Amino acid sequence: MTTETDIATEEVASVLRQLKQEIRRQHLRDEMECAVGVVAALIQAREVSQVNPHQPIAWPHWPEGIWPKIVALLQKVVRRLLRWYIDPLIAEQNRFNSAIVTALDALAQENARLRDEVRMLAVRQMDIATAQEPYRIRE
Amino acid sequence: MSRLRLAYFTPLSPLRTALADHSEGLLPLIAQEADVDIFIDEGYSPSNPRIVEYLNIYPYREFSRRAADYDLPVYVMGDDLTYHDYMHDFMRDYPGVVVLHDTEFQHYFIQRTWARGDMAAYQAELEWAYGPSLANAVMTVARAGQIDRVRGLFPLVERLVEWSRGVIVYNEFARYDLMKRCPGARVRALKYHFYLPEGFPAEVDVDGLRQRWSIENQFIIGTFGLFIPDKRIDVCLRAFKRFLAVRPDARYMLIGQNSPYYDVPGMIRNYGLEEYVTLTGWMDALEFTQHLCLPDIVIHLRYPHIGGTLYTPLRLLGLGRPTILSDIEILMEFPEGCCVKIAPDEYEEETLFTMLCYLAEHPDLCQKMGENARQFIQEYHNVARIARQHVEFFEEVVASPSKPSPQPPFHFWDDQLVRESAAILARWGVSDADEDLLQPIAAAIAALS
Repeated sequence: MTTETDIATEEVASVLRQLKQEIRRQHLRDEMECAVGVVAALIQAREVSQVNPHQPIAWPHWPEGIWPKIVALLQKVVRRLLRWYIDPLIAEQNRFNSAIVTALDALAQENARLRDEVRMLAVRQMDIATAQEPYRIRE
Repeated sequence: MSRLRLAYFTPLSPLRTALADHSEGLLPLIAQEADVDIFIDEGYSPSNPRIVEYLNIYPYREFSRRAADYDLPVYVMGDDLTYHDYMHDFMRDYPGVVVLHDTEFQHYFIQRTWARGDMAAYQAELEWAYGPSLANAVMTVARAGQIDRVRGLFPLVERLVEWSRGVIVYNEFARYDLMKRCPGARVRALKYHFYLPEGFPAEVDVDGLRQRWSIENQFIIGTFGLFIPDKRIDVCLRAFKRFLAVRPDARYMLIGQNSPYYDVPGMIRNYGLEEYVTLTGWMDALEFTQHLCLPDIVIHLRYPHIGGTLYTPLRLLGLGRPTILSDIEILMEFPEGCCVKIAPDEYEEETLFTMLCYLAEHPDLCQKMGENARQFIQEYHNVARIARQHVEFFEEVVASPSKPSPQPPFHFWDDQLVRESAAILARWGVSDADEDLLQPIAAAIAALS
């Protein structure tokens, strides 16, 4: 006859099963969020990593009024005159940005590989190998 | 008890997929215990005489008309739309058992949606499986052409499992991974069967094969299959190049088909190995299997993987070939005494080179490994037993309700409490293995109901 204790034990076992299942799902979800978040962030970083030294002035339309137009024209001239100074600075910054994004990308790939290694170690603990001992080769 | 009537959706020879080979080895034995009709795609005529002669084969369009004649449809699925597209709608409309040879289907769904100009459909699949915020992040990655970096975590297998009444996978890791994603699913892990194609000789004429490729007195390294980036041919070629300094009589046979997305001929040229490496091209199952006996040592690396058990290593071990494999989850069930396993880490090339040298110097070890492998495969990958296990699972599915029973019914707030508790515990780093911690928490939750 099923007693109240049996029912209570079965309920606890049922809750425990569901709790474990939900924890596994949550860990998986956390891993998914982290992994895709890193890659998506890297993609966005790479997209904006290159600075353009040629910022638009009076483009695509000239400003309204004569004085704003004169100012814009002077800015265009100054921009051209300073190109010798600005362009090398921008190029150096872009090199640095590219190096940083490349380094971050390498770290992300290493992280992914380590994650795979951790998963592999967890799988080893599951002991799902069919049979090892009979096939071990000894010297 | 009347025999089970199965409608089997599978690619068949001469289609160039290992799944055809796999099905053709299994179906004749399944057909001894159940009535099997096969439904195939249009545009080809099956060529395996054993299948054509003994089993009914129909074009897939006939299935809707015949569906009531069957107890259960079975869908053999892999991550390639070319061979499995025709089954897709039937899996949804006529739920059955899905046999998953792979557990990642990103490429399948991309081919089915985005590659056909329907990006919205691809996003919809992601949202269904992972929710809107994760789907948006994955879309960012996919648009940048980098979906392969996250495909393992976003496999898009959930839809196929949801539609099914039961799932068969071919390694325990695949089963474990699927159960994490789809806890309510009925998933059975069986083993791949070992079988040799019809016409396989009792003794393979290895000398004849060597003559054919002009490698009579060489020490042969071999790699087999479809050459894709996951096969790590670049690593193999670099290790082989170093091995040439140790064994100048070595030659490397790449036996199989090159993928258009992986420039193996270019790699061979870049490493200056044109005289030492041969890329054979595609072969049919019989010729391919005979060539498995050709090399002195076989390399079969795979990283990353897409969840499915690898069929070629199984045949290699069954034929007693000394084989170097990647140390990955899906190959956990092959003991190390039957093969050599190397980790896909930063030392992979060095380890591969070292193992090639060691095995080349120790033919007795290669022989012992081969004997172990043959014995292991014979014991654990027997085709008749595995066919019976397939039929048993089909019978179990047919005898069960349409869907596996859901979780024990909870009051809404109980369910919510478990979910929220699990989220907090997971954030604190608690795992499902922390039984001592979880037991009293489960008892407290149960006491509240």
